[in-house]
Amino acid sequence: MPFDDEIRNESERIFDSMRISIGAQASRTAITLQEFIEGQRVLGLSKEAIENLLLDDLANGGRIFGEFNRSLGLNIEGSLGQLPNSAAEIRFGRDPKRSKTWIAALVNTCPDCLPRHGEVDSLRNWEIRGKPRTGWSVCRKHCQCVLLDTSDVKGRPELDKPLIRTKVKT
Amino acid sequence: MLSFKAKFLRKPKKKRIDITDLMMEAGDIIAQEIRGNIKRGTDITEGVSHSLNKPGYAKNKLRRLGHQKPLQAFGKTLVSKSSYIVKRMGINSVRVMLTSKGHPKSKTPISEIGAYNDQGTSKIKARHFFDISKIARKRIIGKVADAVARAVHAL
Repeated sequence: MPFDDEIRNESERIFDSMRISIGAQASRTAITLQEFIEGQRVLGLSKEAIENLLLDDLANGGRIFGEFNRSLGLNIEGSLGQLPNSAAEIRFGRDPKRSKTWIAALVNTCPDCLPRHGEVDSLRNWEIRGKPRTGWSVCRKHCQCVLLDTSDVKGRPELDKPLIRTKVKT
Repeated sequence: MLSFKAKFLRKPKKKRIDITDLMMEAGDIIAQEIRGNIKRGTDITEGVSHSLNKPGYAKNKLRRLGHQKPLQAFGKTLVSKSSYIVKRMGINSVRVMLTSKGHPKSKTPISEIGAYNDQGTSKIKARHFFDISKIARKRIIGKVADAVARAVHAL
């Protein structure tokens, strides 16, 4: 299959996964909303006061809708973050037996990803165990780890050091 | 058996409105907007303009090149204008080249520029390439506000 078509298929797959995440988040927010409304009503607030409270929360990103916004951003960023990795895999071939090394950023790395730093396994096994940003780890979509070809990692001691990005003076 | 008082003086129970569907619709608008952005990024056709130039850039281009037609896509690669060097300028097209040495002026590696664009720095905000449009934002807020009003007044 040509590269462009594969990228389109991949982006559609990622989009579907993102839509499921957004839908689930919207449902959770609906439940929180219902809980808030009924709770405030029981406490004796008028309908108008509750509506104003919620519209204010919506406009200013308060407790309910602020949480919805933040989790949406996390979901979207995480889902789309898979796209460059997938594009690289498509470009360089998706041989399931290809040996890959897990490289962590080593800056605030989560306890799930840290033991995997430097671990070598086949691409197929990494797919089963969970690739970066697929949601298997504590860091979920915040994951900054990458899977690199083992042949590229050899002889590069800088990959064992924490990844520090400094702003370059222009 | 309910007593006479309990049977006739009990408050009628109102039907609880499910606002999940409305919230799901709002979520779907967001998802569709982002899908459109992704498609726009992957559907670049060689030799076709990607998007119109911004007014300041168009003005600068008019002064330097004598025209303000938008840049055409070559090589199907989305690039930041800071990460390429201009190789050839035609009447309606500019051929650019990505340099392995990095930024033409600062010599910052392309991978580092990409990381700045993607994640931002302490001073530079991340570029909202996949952000949703203002029209979609209004529609989403409308849907959510509708959900709020329905849920509150159904009590």
